[in-house]
Amino acid sequence: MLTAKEHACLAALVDCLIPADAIGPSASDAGVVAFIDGQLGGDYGAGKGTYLPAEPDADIPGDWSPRTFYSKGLAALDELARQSAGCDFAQLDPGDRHELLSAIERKAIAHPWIAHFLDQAIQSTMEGYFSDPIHGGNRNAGGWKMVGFPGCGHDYRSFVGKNLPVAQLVPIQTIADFRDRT
Amino acid sequence: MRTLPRKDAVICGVGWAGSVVLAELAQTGLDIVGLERGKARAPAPGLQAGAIEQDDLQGLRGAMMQDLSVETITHRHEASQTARPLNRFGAYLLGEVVGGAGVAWNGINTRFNPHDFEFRTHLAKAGRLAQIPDDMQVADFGISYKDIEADYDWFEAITGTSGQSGANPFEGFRSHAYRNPPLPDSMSGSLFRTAATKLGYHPYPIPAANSSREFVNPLGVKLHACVFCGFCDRFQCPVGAKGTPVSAILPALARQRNVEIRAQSRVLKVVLDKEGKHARGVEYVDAEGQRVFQPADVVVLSGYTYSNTHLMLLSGIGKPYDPRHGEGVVGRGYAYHVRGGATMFFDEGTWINGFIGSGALGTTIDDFNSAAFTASSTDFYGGGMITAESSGGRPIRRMAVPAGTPRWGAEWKKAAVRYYNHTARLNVCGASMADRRNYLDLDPSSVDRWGRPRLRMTFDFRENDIKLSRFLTERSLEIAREMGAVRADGTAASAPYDTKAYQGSHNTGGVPMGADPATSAVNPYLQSWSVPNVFVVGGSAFPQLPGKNPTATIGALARWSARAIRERYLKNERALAA
Repeated sequence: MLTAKEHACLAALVDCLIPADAIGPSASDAGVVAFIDGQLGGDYGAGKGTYLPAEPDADIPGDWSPRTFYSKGLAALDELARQSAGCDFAQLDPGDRHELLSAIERKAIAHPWIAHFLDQAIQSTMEGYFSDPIHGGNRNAGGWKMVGFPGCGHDYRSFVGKNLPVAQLVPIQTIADFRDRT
Repeated sequence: MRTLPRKDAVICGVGWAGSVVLAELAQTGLDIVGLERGKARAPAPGLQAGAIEQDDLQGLRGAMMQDLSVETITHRHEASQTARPLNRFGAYLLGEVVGGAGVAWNGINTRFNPHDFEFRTHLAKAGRLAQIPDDMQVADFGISYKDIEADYDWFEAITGTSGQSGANPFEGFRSHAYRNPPLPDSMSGSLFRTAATKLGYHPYPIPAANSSREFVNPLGVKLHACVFCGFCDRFQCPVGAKGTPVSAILPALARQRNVEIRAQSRVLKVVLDKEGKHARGVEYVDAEGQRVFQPADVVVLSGYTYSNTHLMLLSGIGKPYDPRHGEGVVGRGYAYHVRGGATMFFDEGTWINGFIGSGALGTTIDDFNSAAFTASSTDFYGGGMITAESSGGRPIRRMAVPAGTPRWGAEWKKAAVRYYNHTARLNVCGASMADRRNYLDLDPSSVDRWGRPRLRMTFDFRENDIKLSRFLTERSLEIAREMGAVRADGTAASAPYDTKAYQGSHNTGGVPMGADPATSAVNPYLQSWSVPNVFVVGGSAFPQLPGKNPTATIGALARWSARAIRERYLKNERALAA
C-alpha cells in the first residue's frame, strides 16, 4: 500500500514513538510498519464502517479515510522536516526527529491537523505493537512479552485474586496457536 | 412497495429490550416478528477457537457495531452550533447485530434503588426541589421499584446473574436471592473491599451477568461458567458465560413456531392511519435493500435510545421537544453517565494482573447512591457508583502510565513495562440529570441515504455533571490511597464532552416515560400517549439516568411493558393510562 518514500517516513516515525532498547524491540522490529501498511490496504484503511462525507472538509481528518490521512500526514511530516532541516523526516537524525515530534505534540507547529496525525500514529503504533500477531505486528509476541500479557484463550479460574506473577506462570497464546491446531 | 402478510405484533430492534419483549409475547401464541438491522451471529465458539472472540484488534475496531457509513447521527454541544455527523465511534458503541449492544456488554447488572424511580418526589421530600437549577428537568418514572421488582428478578434469573444477596444495604427489597453465587474477588476488588470497609463504606461484589457456574435459566437455556479470560467487553463471550440476548433468550425463541426474527431488516418509520392515532405497521428495508411494509396490530419500538427517538420523530408520534421553553416530549431527557475515578499504580510486589477479568468482575459501593446521600445537602444532585473493576486488560485497550509520563518514546516504554501488571482502575459511574439544553431532534441539514433527516444530538456535560464527577473522583482518590497505591491519578470529567474518547455506552432518554403527558412521551406502561398501539421500550424511556449501569432496568422495564401488553392491552386494546 505505502510507497517507498512513505514507508521510510513511517518507519522513522514509529521508531521514534517506540525506540529499540534493552527492554523490548523497536516498533519496526516488532512489525508495526508492516502492520500499518496491511491495515491501510484493507477495510480499515478504506474507512469501512465509518461515515466519510461525499465532500470532506480539507481541515478535518475525521472526514478522511485512514489511507488518505496517512498519505497526507506522512507528506506533511516530510514537508515540516524540509522546512526546518532541508531533508525528509527519515533523513533527520533520531534526535531531530524526536525534537520535531515533540514540537508537534506541544502544538508549537502552526498546522491545522498535524497534531491529530501524531495522535493517529501513536494509536496505530500501539495497535501494531500490542495486537495479536495474526495482524502482522507484535512480531513473536514481542510486545506482549515485554509487558507481561499472556494473550488469548486462557482459563484463569485458578488465578483470580491471587497475588502471583501470573504472566510468568502461563504460556503466551495467540490466535495462530489455535488456528494451527484446528 | 411490497406488503407482507399481517402480524399480530412487530418488534423493531432485537437487542435486550426487543428480546425480552419477544420472550414474553411468545407465550401468548400470537404471530410475532422481530426486525433487526444487524446480522445474526453464531453461538459462542469456545475458548480456543481462534475466532473473533480472541481478537483484541477486532474488539477495538468494533466488529459488531453500527455501520456508520450506512447510518450515523449528528452532534453539537449547544443549540447555537451546527451539528456534525459522527464519523466514527469514540465515546460509546452502538450494536448492529442480532442481540444488539447486549451482545458486547460487560454484564454489570445493577438494579436502580427505590428512590431512583421517584427522584423528583425524593428531592421534594428532602426539601431540595426548590433549589434545583432552572435547566434541570428531574422527573419521576411514573412507576415504583415495587412495580417492577419481579421483573428485575426475572431478568437476573434469565441472565444467570451472580451476586451476593443482601451485601448492598442501600438497594431495595428482593423477592429472591441471586441465582448464582458471587464471582470471586479480583486482586483490585479485594484491595478495594478492605479499603472501602475501613473508610466506613459498604463494598459488595458487582452483580454480574457473567455466570459463576454452569446454570440453566428459566427459559431452559444453559449458561456456562465464566473462566475470566478477559475477552468480555466488545466481544460475544467465547464460552457462553455472559448473559446476552444471544446466549440467554434467543435459543429458547428458536423453538417457538409463532416467533420469527428477520435479520438485516432496518425499520425506516412507523406508518400511521390518516388521523395519526393508530399505527398500521412499519416500513423497513430488507436484506436485499427493498422497501417493504409490514402490517401489524401492535408495534413495539425496542431499539437503542437513538433509534427509538429517531423513529418516533420520523413517524410523527408525540410532540417533538423544543428546548427553548422545555416543551414537547419526544427527544426530551437525553442523558449520559458522567465518568471519573482514579488510575492506580502499585508496587512491584502487588500483582494486579489486570488481564484476568470478566466484564463485571469487581467490587463496588452504593454509598453515594443511597437515599440518605442524595437527600443530603451536597452542591449537586444525584449520586454514583465507585467501582474497582477488572473487566480485562488487553494491552491495546489498557496501557496506563502515570500522568506526566510522555505518551511515547523510551520513557513511556519504561513506564509501560513497570506498571502494566501493577495498575488498576476505580471507575465512577455518575448520574446524569436531564437538562433542558440536552436533547435529541431531527437535523434539518443532514439526510441519510433514504432521504430521512438524521437524528441530531445536542449534548454537553453540565455544571451538575462536573461537580458530581469531581466529588466522586476525590472519594476515589481517598480509597486508592487506602488501597496502598503508590500513586493515583484522578480522572474527573470536564466539558466540552469529547465524542472521541470512550466513556461508556449508557445513552438514555428521548422517549421518556412518566405519569404526566406534558413531560413524558410514553405512559408508565411504556405505551405512546398519542398512538396507543405503539410501545417504546428501552433506555429511551428513562426520564433521567441514575448513577448505576442501566441494563438491568432496561431488561426489567421491557418485561414490565410486555406484561402490560399481554395481560392488559391484548384483552382490551386501549390506552392503559389516562
